[in-house]
Amino acid sequence: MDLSSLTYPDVVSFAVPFFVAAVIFEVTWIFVKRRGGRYETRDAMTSLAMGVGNVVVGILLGFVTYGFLMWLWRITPLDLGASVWVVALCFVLDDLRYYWVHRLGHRVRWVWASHVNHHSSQHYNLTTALRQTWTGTFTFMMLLSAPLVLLGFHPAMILFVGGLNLIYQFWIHTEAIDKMPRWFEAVMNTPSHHRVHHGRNPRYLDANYAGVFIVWDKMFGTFVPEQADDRPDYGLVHNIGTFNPLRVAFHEWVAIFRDLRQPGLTWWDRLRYALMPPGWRHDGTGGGSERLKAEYVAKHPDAAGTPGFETVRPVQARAEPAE
Amino acid sequence: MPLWLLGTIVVVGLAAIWLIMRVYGFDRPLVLTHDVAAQEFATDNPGLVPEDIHLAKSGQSALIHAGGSTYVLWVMGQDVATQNVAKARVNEAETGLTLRLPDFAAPRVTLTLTEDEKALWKPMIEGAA
Repeated sequence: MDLSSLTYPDVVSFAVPFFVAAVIFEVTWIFVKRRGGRYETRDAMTSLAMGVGNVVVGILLGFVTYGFLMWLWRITPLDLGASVWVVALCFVLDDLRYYWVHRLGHRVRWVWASHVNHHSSQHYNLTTALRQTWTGTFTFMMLLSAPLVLLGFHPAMILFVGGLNLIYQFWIHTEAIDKMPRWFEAVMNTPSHHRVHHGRNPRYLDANYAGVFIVWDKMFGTFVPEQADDRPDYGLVHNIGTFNPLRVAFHEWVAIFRDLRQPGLTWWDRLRYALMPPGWRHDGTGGGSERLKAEYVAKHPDAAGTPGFETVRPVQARAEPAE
Repeated sequence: MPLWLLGTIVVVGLAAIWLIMRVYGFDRPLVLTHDVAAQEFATDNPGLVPEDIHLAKSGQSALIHAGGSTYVLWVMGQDVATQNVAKARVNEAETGLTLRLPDFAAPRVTLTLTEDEKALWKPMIEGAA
């Protein structure tokens, strides 16, 4: 089938008026009902500025990812066509790709440097969904889309379903919805599951990476259900002290390069500052998520074995806080 | 969607959201109490327990001793940020003290303090180096 002229609508652009209307609705709901979340003007405007920046960067640098995927498309002998079923299959497999990109985004500091801004708000509302990266191209995570192209999914289709995935994830960034029906919570990513992902509570670190289908977390052992007695506290383990979008976008990149430039490091250590999980330090003083969980369990032995702490062994807390 | 239309929706939409938040009063800052400062500090610095808290009369900042170090905590909207002040450069400002911090993600903060607080806090911050 000749797919050289295959095009799909830019669904994210079409969703922008809906995003704006939904934010206005949510902020009004919270004001009227006095529940269902929190808004703060500068925090929300920073999130929205990050969203606008993400769109601008996409326009400027989108050709890098699309060019790479089109190059793969030219060399692959496979072509699955463009039927509705192929698009549906592409959506599911792309969501699996998203799970792994997202998981790497939390476990590899180079990728975390791009993703950290999405977690840098201490609020959790619909504007948080729009607090998107400006530096995703530099993580080279487009490599994880390569298998889909090589299997015969057209790059335009992959970007189309990626847009649908992004739109789906918008509505789950809210505290206004408590729980969805049980069957829905079992299969789909929901506000409850994603609140866990944004929580900085030790229990919730490195959990619920799903985009659309929560089943990936259940399959790969990263699912943690939201606990009524441990409400998510949003933000980073150690929060940033700025609303400046430029600093929000680039602060972890700056931190990486400062760590790389420390005198007396081996090249192996320099590489590990970029590739190990956030919090790693060459002298062993770092506080990654495993350590934070273990310290929490040492302080709260009753938590051992509960969701998020199933395999955690307690260790004594250090005198210095985690990075 | 044409770029000009998308741009117009974004600009008008963001202005509307900003205006609505202002009208609803969502730009009112958090006012710290001793307990709130202690809890926020402990949450932002896992493993550290605040031993001594100097709360500014403005309720917008606190100087905290914990684990043998000195930290500044300040209000950011309805939330807080905290930093170790060991490498901070401190200057007097008209309304209090300005700290320059060696952190790209928290480069500078101006603390609103009374004259008495200024006189007390400045040597404590300088002495933490």
